Amino acid sequence: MRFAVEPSEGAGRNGVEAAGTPLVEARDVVKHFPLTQGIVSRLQRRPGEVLKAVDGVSLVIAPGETVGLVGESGCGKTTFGRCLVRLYEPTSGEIRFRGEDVLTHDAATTRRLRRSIQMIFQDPYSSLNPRKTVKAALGEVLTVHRLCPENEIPARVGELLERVGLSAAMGDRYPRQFSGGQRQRIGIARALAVDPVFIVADEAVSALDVSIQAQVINLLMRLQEEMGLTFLFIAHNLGVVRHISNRVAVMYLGKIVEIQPASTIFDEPLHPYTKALVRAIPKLDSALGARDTVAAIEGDPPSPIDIPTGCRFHPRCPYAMPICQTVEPPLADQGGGQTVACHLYPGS
Amino acid sequence: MATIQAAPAASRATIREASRPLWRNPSLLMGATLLAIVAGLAIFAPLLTPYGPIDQDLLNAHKPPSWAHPFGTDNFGRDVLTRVLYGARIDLMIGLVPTAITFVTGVLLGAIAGYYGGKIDTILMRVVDVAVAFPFIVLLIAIIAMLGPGLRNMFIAIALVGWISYARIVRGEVLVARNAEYVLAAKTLGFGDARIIFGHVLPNVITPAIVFFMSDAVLNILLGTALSFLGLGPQAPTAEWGRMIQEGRQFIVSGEWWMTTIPGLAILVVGVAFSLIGDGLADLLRVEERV
Amino acid sequence: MTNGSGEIAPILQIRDLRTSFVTSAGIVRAVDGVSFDVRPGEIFGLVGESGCGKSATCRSIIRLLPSHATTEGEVLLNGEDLLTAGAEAMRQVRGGEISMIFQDPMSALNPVLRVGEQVAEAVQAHRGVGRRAAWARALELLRLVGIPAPERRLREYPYQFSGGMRQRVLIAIALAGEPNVLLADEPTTALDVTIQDQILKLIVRLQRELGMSVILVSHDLAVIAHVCQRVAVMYAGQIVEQGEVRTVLRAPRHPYTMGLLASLPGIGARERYLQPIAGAPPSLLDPPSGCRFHPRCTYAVEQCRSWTPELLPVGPGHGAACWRQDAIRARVETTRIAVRETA
Repeated sequence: MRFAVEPSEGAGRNGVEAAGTPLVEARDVVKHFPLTQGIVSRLQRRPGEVLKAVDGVSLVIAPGETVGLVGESGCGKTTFGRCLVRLYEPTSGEIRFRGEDVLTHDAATTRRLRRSIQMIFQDPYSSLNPRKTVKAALGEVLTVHRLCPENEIPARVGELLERVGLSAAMGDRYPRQFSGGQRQRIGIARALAVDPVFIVADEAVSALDVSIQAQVINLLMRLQEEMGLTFLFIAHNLGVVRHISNRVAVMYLGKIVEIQPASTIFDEPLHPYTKALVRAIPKLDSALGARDTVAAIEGDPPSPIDIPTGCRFHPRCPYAMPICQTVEPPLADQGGGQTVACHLYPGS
Repeated sequence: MATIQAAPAASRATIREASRPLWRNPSLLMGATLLAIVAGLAIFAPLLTPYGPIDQDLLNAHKPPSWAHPFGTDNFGRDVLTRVLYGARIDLMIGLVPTAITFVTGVLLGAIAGYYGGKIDTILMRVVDVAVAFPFIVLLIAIIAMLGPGLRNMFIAIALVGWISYARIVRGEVLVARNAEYVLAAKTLGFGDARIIFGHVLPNVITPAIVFFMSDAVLNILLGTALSFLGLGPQAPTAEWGRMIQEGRQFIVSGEWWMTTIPGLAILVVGVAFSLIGDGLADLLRVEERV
Repeated sequence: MTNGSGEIAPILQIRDLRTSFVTSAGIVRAVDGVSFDVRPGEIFGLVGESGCGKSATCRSIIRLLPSHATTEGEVLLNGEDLLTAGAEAMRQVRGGEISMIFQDPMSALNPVLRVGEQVAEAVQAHRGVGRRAAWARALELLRLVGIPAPERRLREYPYQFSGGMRQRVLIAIALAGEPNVLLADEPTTALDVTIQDQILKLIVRLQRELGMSVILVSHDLAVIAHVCQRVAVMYAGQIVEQGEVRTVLRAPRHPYTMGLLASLPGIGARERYLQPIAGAPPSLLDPPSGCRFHPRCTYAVEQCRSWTPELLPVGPGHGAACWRQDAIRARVETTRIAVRETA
């Protein structure tokens, strides 16, 4: 068992739904970007197009669990994450946090929820303001939210830095004076400054070298244990996601196609896309042992501007049936915490 | 090369360069010194010359440079040196006051348009498009023609038109910066828009606008002198370099070069000073910005 | 390293390669005494973390370095030193004997020229053929690298190609001169996993069909494991371990390689927490004395501060630049026993 606490054991029984009171509930979240003035549409001379980045995503996250969200570039995983932290206003759909509507336009509620939901960004080189010292950046967060009296800020900043494995003395430095791994730690400290409950980590370790990546993954897992945090861990690296997550959701072209416990998704992928994805990952153990001979999927993912009808994976799917071209399969519970959106399985 | 230089190596390099003392930046140093000298001469003009800027001495009119009048006298017998010194007060003002106004308004409007986008941006950019469609100087002349000539109206005219360049520069930069992860981070941390724009976005995008400020100051001095030359600036007998050139112009043919050449040189010196400062600042801020 | 007599002569021999960059902060020794051989028809992996000098090594071989770089040592291609070759000879070698493909397929193609033109141009540059013949060859090349409908795609522009397809085009261009050695510098890093898989398979297929040698530079041990026969692990500008891929990755004998493998999720990670290597790679401006890995190494003793061995033979064709072999072997034994007992 990967986790000392295994919230997903009970929580992830039926995939989308988490048992007990969910912390985060996303229902049919849609985010479309109109492309009327974009360079892309100008080049292609197709005015009035819509990029369907997120096209109806539902996901329920239980308190204390880590849900991994994987998919290839352009599948909408980052956009969905940004909808959750309200960097983007969803085109439609519903997001609830502890039962409370996140998409409310009430300023006070927004402000309160903003503190509870934080984000860790991908690029440790651009996620910190280059012109602020670490102390100033963290101090600003505390000041804005009046989280501690002015005279206690230096001590609190030092505490935050130590919590992420840096020394308090580093506070006087500018971001450029830190290595990538250290910057990512600072980004984490900044997110922790507001005492969040739920953190969206968007490719938080993807830009780091493996030896540093492991340090940051350990840090995130330790923080989760100590502070009881809940994570949505967005990444394209399935190995990392499997390690850190309780459940893994796989996204393809703006939709979730499969949700499974992390412990089974590598060994029993259900959706043909997940199968292809799992197979495509170069794995040390299989490379050194028997070679995997199963064919990879062909071609490139279609454009999210021009999504195929029916099941959006059907043009690349080796198992495609006639029904796949016309009817979009819904996510259906397969038992054992496995949920899949594919006509090959009952209920879809 | 990014993959070759390890992060610690790169950061070490920037620290060393950023802490490079000011005197290692010759452009900035020379420009600032030059400008300080001109400003000093303008301020202490009354102590440096026994004449007044509009004191006429018709007996001594049209005199070439001499010990009593190092830069000669004009057609009213006014001391050219004195007028150039006093003129610096007005010309530096032309260089700085309208430029500062246009800088502030332009940066503000550009930042707002770029940050919020949408309707605000569209409206602002349409205004810019229209303004840009007119030849700049014709627009200025039209405005001054409506308001009447004079220093104050000239400032107003420049302020009405000049913000456009700053707005465009800053808007472009903000459009990029608003999607930078540190700005997104500030949003998720629940910072207010004003705090994000002034505390996070602007400090990171203002450099090109500051550098442009310096060249714009030169342009505005030239513009001011050009407008004065056309009789649209400060009125006679005010000492102003453009006006002096305009007045001395008719005597060039009779070989009285000093009436035009000396104020012309003064414009050149100030222009060079601002340009040097601009170059130096660009250099300084770029080094500091290298992340 | 121990090339027994009777083996085929290596096609490429790198001998004590040293590449440094002069920067305002000082001299960065990106490559510091790297030696390895590439045999005909093998895929040789260079693996390491960012800044370890793997890309610089690759670029030094083909002499594609900025002017502030200096390179010493020998790069022998069929016995001929490329580092002393003249500019014209080098131009013939590049794209002819040795070709290179890069990490970013998005910026490596000229956006205003048709893809066919760019491939045909490369063909003409290395084979004195006419325009028509060059286009015909370009068509063959696109077909070879698995681009569907190559007749149509030849007349399209780069923006009409996806990242994976562009990388295929770049491989086609690299193959135009029928090279004997292909340098692939992180060719799949910018691509999604499913596309990465396609490109890696393509490289392996082409290597087999055309019988070339490939140097594959990657930060991803799993990619190296899948594709390469032999591998060199680089750290701070030096090779710390080298050998058959299976041996090096299954039974590593250098603490850095061991640490890298342990920090990968999904391998040693049956535990809840990963086992990262402490600290961060050193600055190449001012690398640590002795063994460069010693400040991060759990096996380090006082002696490691002052000296480090060349690659020591630790097995057949397997070398590791660490003299604490006894301690490493002992530790490996104990874990093996522990694992057996728990099982």
